[in-house]
Amino acid sequence: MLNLIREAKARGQKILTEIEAKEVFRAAGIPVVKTCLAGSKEEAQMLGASLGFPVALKICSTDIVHKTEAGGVSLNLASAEEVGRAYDQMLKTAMARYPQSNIKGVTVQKMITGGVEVVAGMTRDPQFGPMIMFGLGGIFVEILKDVSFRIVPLTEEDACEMISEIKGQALLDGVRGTMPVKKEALVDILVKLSRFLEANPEIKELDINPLFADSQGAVAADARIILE
Amino acid sequence: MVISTNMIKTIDDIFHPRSIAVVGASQNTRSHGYQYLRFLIDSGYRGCIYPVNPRDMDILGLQTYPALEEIPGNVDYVICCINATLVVDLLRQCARKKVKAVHLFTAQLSETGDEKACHLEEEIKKEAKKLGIRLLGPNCMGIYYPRERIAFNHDLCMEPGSIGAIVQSGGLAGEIVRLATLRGVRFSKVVSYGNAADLNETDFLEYFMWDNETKVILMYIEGTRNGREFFKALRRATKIKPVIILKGGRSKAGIKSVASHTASMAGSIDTWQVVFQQAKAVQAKSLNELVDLSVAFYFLPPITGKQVGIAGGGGGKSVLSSDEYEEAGLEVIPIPEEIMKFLESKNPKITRWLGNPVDASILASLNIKSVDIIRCMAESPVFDLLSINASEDSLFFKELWIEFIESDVNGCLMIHKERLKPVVAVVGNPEMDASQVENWRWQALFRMREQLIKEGIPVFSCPGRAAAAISKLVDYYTYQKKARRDHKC
Repeated sequence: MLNLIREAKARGQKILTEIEAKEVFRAAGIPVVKTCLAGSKEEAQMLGASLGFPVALKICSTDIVHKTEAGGVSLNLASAEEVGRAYDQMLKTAMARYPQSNIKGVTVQKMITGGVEVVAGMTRDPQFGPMIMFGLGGIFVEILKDVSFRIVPLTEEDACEMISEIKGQALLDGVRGTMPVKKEALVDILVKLSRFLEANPEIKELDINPLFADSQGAVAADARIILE
Repeated sequence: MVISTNMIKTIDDIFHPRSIAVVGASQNTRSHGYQYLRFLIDSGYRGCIYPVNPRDMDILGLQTYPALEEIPGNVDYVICCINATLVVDLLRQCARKKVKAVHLFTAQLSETGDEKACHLEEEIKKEAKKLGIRLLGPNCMGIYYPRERIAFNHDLCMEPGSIGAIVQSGGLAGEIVRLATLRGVRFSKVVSYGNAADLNETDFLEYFMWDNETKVILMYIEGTRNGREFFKALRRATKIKPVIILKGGRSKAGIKSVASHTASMAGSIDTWQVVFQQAKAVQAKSLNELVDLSVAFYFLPPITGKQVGIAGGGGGKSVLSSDEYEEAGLEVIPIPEEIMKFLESKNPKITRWLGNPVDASILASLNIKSVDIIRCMAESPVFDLLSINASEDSLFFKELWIEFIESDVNGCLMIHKERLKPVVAVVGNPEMDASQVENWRWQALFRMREQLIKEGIPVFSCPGRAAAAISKLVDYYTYQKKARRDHKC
């Protein structure tokens, strides 16, 4: 078990922060977007400048699971001024909606451009145990539920099959002149996820949403881990 | 991987008892104890049968014992038909008598959902474990094993075959055996295992995957006590032999209050579908399909190509057949050029009309027998499988009608006997009543159906059912072939 998870458990923390979750995924060999924690507005603005605009700002808390619903996500911030405004607004909204929540600050990360937005995740079936999900991100997962599932442990072939099962497959193969995404990278992530889950039975649910895939590889832009 | 040789030995012993005691046997012909005695006697079981009942001296001509321990010889296997409240005491008697396995036909236990009954089942399970006795059931029909002439239902076929079935339900076990037997399928061993207090679906799956008498496994399952063990065993089993599964009680998990996206998505799917797909089990959606699949896997070789040739039946029937095969994922390809040329040499007119499917109604005027065309198709390497319609749609008077159908059936038999090509027959199966039994049309169809089945040809009642079963068979063997090839690399 990773130290980070053990410590969170010892503190009685059920939801890992985005920073912690990304650290866990990095340790599991899954590529993540470089993400930094800012404890103040000025720090967020400085991080934005050093990471390079445009950036995304997200609320960082151990008890806000649904960041978007809490007004805790602000994308495409192109300047220090925009980051400043978004920071103030975000903290105000989050504190108004979740006055009891333990807010650690905001995360700052560079916006990813291009590629296809996909999701990967895991949940536990009461009978069959950990199951991994793959699907197309955004509207496809929300409305069309275009996802596939497999039981852990996943073989490489299981991962290939769950990717090819997606109805919106064509989007991964490249449409309107875009390059096909590197499916090997997605297979690799799904298999690593499976190995990680076998070794860490205290994980209850997790999401990598969005996971950006392009012709070069795939990288996790957001991460959520919930412990038992 | 854990293969318990002990477990396999335990189950093998259950299938090979030298003596069986039926506890709760009775002269009352409506009692289940009486039924089991009739099943064993009438199926010709060769071991000793000991009825146990304190009130009767003699049941069905067999000496009856007041208690298990009064039986002079060894008892290998007990069929328990007494009330659930008496089972714990019976288990203690079994232990003193050194009985290794007990089949609990006895029901009204955990399947009722009643708290007291669940508790009693738990108590029975614990007692059996403590005494080292293995349980089959409760709430099940037990075993059917033609080689040993043991049956869990009356008048089951005693000719052994190679399909092994694991059936959670009791009544359905008998129905599956009878329906499949009508289609020519024969069974190696069948077990109806009910509530699975002790021996469960995974144990039997493990046993059947290593059982040399079993080439194909059939399952009807409603639930499992250990999903992960079952999944792992299923995954191993399908690499060794086909496993055809019908899951009873299909439902979605229902969306619960969950924190992640993934979990909320999971609420909208049936995990069993994922399990079957990932483990490469062949999934049946209905009892009919389960039987159709058992017919296909029992008779057909491991076909890995999708190109189907169809012959027999008139225009409409041919079009429909073609649609149904294509919709099932198979390919109805055009008749190859060399066959066309050959037929043209016999009759220059023919190529203007002929295609795949072969429309039999055209042949009548061309003086070419359908059996000739069927032979051509069977000898052509492009087809992976032929489907012959022995269809009741032809337009002729009695004698000619029969002649046409016989020609199709003979074509089918010829391909099969000469081992030219895998072949299936679609023989019209009208929804008829007893008043029609003497009708010449149905008589002819029944006769031909019987002949085809006797020769080991899979017979289906309509093209759609044939196509669905064949498509799943091709998918299974194609996958296994690919998996083996990849494995070698």
